[in-house]
Amino acid sequence: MNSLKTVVKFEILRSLKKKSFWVSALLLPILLVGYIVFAGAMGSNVEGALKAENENADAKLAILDEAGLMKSELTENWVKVSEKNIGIKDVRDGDLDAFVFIAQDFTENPKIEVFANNKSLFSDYSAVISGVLVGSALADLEASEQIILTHTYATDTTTFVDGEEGSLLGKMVVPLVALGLFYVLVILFSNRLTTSTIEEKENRITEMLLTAIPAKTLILGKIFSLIALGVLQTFIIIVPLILVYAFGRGTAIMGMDLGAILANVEINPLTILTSFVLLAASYVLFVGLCVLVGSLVPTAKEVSSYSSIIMILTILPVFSISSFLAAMPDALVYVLSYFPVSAPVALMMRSAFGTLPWYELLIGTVVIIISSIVITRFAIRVFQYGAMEFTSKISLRKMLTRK
Amino acid sequence: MSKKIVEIRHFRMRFGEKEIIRDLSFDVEEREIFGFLGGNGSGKTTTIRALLGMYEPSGGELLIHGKKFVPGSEPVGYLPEERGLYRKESVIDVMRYFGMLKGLENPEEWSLKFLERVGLSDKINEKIEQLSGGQQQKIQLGITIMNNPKLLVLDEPTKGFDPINRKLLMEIIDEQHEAGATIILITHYMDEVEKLCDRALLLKDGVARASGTIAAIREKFGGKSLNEIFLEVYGGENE
Repeated sequence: MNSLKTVVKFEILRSLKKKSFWVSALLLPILLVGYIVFAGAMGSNVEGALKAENENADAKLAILDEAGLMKSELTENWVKVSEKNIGIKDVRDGDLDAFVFIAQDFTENPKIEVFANNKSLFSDYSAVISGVLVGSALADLEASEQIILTHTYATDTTTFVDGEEGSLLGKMVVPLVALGLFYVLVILFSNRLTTSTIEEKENRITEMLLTAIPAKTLILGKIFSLIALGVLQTFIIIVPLILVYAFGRGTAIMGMDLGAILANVEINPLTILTSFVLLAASYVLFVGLCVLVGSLVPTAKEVSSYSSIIMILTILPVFSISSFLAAMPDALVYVLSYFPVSAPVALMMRSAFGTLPWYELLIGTVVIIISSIVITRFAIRVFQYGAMEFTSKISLRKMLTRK
Repeated sequence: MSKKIVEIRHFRMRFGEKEIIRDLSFDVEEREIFGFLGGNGSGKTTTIRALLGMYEPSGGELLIHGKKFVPGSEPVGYLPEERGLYRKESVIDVMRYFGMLKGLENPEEWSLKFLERVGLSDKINEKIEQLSGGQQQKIQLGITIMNNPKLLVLDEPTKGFDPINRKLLMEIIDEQHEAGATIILITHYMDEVEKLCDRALLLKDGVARASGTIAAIREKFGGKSLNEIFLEVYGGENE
């Protein structure tokens, strides 16, 4: 146990002492956050386009216009509701996609209430409703009402997800943070994981080490240290995010109202727990895969081609993002969700996009945990077997048939 | 009667179709310096790796103190022929790390004394890669002996050393021997063997071609020097 602790401590400290560790640990998250803020500020048009695209004509909309503001031709296909509570109930039950309520006292209290089912990312129907309102305003309303309607009215939108009040975008934040963290860990640690595994072999330190400690202790020490460094990297990203959440309300960044964004963020302990269990299991699986590759080959040069395959398989779901954004997952989504190497990103994306039922999250997480245990144990075995193989790749056939 | 530290019985080693060692048996007795000799590729390193549990033998048994060696179970020092260290780390960090793995109570103190002894006290905080090959070998020797091993396996310990450092190294080996260590010395310098070793074994094609005390081996070959015996056994084929 002491030897294991010594290996873990040595591996962690030598990483922390390196400038390159801190440069990559701090720089990449800063660059990513910078890019997200920049893209957010530049991307309002894209969001508008997506809204328009998603709020199609098939949407089942309803209205109760007590003030009589809306031009009837523009809402002729809308369901007319007699009572506000009935409209809200129908939205909650999923019978309506959205319900607009305009109170009788609109001129004194210019507020429009919208209740919408948040089925996909951009389905709060605000673009459709806004279009109808503006169209109505410009038609035959009195000038004072036009001014109120086009310039000063407020929209109070209540959205529902699966019958419960909430916003899909707000629910996305925690799973999306977990996905972002995993992505950062994959980028930053894949090279470190493989080269760390191969270092002793390549530098011919193995023989001196193996008279003092068993190969299993050495590789376990490396695995634990890499997991600890992953946890540290996670904290480096999470702590600023928590600080922004705690103190960022009322702040604007590049024109984006941070307070408004943060107000929608749903902090659900169960979502946090499941997201981070999934993240932890996924990282251990990734560590196991990289250690396996590092154990199979004798030099760092040969590692790169194998580790690229792992990287591509890991981020494969990103290339099929359109399938993942759809409300109804197709076969490809299911395949990628249960194939161990692609499962982490696939499940995290589905969790973020609100298309992952709890039982699938549970099954997927169990698949990843079992895979991470099996692969890590196998990687340890390969490392032990191949610790003295300095010149050629390990033959798995020979290893598995060895007595 | 002397106690046997190393016992190798009917050791065989095969890599795929290639048989490296064929039925090798020998003992190394307590506190002796044993010369393990042979040409390049004769199977010396393979035998040592199998003895130290790094290779699983194809047959036979290799024992240290009557047991199969388990890393860390007893103080064994091994200076392999193929040498390397953590190139990007400082001298003291590397020595401290190995010292802790070998169970030293105060590895830093031991390392500082050793570095002073071998004239490297000004290199404590330098990275290994900044040292010359000879300086790195001294660090490796320090790591090998830092836990006062009862069995010391030295594979070409003087390779690459200048005469001054070779003398220093011989003194250190001698001190270890005086302190009670049993030494297996693998070398191509036959003068070192004649000078240091009590007994020796000459390996060729995975079998022992000669073994016993230095005097007995010489007598068997008509009083020739070990150098001449080596040339005769290998017939000039060895590099």
